[in-house]
Amino acid sequence: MEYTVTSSKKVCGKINGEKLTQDDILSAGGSVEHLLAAGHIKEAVKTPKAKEEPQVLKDEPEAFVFNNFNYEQGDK
Amino acid sequence: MARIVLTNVQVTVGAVDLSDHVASVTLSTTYDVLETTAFAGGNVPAAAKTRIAGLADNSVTLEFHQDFAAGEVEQTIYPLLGTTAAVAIKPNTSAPIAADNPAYTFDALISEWTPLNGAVGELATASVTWPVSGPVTKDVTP
Repeated sequence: MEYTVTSSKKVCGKINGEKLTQDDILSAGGSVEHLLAAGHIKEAVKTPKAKEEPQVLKDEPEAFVFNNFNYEQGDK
Repeated sequence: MARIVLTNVQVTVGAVDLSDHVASVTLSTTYDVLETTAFAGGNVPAAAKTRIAGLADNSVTLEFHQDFAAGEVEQTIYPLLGTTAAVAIKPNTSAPIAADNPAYTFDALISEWTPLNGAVGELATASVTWPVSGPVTKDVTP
């Protein structure tokens, strides 16, 4: 879970607008619940990733090669 | 060795940097003193008392400038009352942790708080002394 600093104070060394993780908070001895309740952080809004369209292989059709083949081979 | 003038001490409580609302800080460590003086028992009689150190007892005293605004001192400290919170103190905020700028970290029992204190015309302050639960860790590793 990611959080965004909303406080005017540094939280875990991060300033307003910067993101931190639950691990950052716990390793600094903080409590997520406390920081949320005190308005120091908020849950980071996850921006949905642009949906990747399946890549369609648009192979160029093989160029038609006209074989100049003489069908009229044979004895004349 | 350079003397140090405290102008930029960093104080964080519960991972929140409250340095700009702290006017003074005192971190104390004392050890219980256990007397071990005994009769000579055939040896040379003791000429003076002997002692050993017992358990350490740490505490931190902070003087806060009270602030009721969102995300400030009151909103940070009040919910922590009666719990232990991680506290970190560093002499110089701007400088990295080093032998000449050690960081002290510990868990303090937020045992007291004075939300409102002061007379007419005075700055609202809150002076607290919190006992430390467990050891104080001194970090000098950059």
